[in-house]
Amino acid sequence: MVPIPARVARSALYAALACLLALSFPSAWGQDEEELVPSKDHPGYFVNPDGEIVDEFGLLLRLFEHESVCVRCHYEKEKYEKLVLDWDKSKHSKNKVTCEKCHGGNPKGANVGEAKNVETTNFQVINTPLDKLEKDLVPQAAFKYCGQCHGIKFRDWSFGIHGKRTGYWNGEKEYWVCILCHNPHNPKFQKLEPKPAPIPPSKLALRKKDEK
Amino acid sequence: MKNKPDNKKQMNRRGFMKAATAGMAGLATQGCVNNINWDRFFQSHFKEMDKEELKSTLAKLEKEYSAKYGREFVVKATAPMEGTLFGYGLDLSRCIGCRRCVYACVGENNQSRDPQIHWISVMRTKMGDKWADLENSTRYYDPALVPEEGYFYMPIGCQMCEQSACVKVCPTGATWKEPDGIVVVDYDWCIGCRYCMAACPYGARHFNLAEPDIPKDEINTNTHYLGNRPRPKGVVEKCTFCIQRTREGKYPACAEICPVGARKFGNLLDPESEMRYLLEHKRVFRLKEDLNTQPKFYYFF
Repeated sequence: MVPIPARVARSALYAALACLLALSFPSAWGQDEEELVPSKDHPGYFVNPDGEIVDEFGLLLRLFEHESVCVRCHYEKEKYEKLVLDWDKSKHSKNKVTCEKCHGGNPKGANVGEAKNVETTNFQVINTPLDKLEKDLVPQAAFKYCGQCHGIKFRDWSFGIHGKRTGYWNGEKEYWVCILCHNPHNPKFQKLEPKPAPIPPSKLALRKKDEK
Repeated sequence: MKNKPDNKKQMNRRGFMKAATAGMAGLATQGCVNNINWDRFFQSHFKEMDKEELKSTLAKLEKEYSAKYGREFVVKATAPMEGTLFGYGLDLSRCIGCRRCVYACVGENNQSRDPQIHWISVMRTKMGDKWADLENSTRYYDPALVPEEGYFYMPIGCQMCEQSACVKVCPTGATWKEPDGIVVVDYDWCIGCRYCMAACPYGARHFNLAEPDIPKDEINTNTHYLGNRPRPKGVVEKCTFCIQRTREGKYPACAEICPVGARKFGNLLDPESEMRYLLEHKRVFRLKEDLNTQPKFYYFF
């Protein structure tokens, strides 16, 4: 028998081990994608192996967790991506603040009429773009929807300490209501790109014509 | 012995006077002194101008600026309102250090772009560091996104002190506190000695090292004599709470631009104002209070 050098033997052993490892996890990639089945009840959604309804990324929607089922009827791809996914990232989604808490209605109602209970829904305020809303309804909108939970912030806002006022300090003011600064579906402020830093004195060069 | 002065070589008094007068006359007739604007040279102090002189001075300035920048200028001298004392509030827990206020101020108040002058400095301090003397803070931070974890931001402009160190040291009376609490500068009386810059504990005063450079299409033509009118080279300038806006009842430019609503402005003498509510209900402090400068710029959180 020809003796095999120790170095070759060692590398062969490593290669065999690597092959074994790769074979033992055949479904390490693409598992989620393979097993998501399009949902029959909810167009645009999928069912994962546990029978839960998820979106195309396998993300479990908290909307369904809380049995808030508005999206079953009110489904538009654009709106869903813009609004519902935003909401899903927010703290609201973790604290059971679902659609109807602001939009009104009763998603657990037995029929469509009950779900869209007009008494609990202020369609005029919530479904009108803010710039078209009548002026005296604006503070009301802030109070009704955000102020019902964020009481201290609302109090500060009503005295002009939280939030922003523009216009005249001694006269006609524009009151910036909650949703003019905060995204109502994901209210936490996103990070901003800062404006350029000032030039340090060491790099501050006088222009040539003044140097003369 | 050479103790006696040599009469032939030494100039006597009469000779000196003759030569000096001749020299002055020569200079005045030649180009050397022609650059001096004699009207401006003999212009009175702002506080000593009567109505007519003020009117003619403002008209002269408007003409001068219009010619220089090629746009119609308005130079106002709006008087302070009765019963106002301006105060400013800044919410430190809101400020994210985005510097929107700095550049809004530059645009509104015609600050020089090159060499760069910023009336507002946003100071970044690491949380937990000693911060009150601003020794550990920097204004040159430049991350991709703000706010950064573990830092807080503190914009500093003029604190509008009631006992202003800068006013005390000015040798020409070119800077003073107006009845509504705004500390202003008469740029035509400033001699550029920069005593005030040395005296100010907040670094709020800035010097025009060169002729200010402002793009013609970006210049703000709505100006105030004591505020944002274009400055000459060699004078000191500072925040005036946007005197051209606030004396007409508007909010300052920095307060309007702030994306997080951290900046508050109001009349300290009006019990209904935002500032009074803030002082009564929030945790308020003033910068370097131990110096007894008594600023009217309140930080709260």
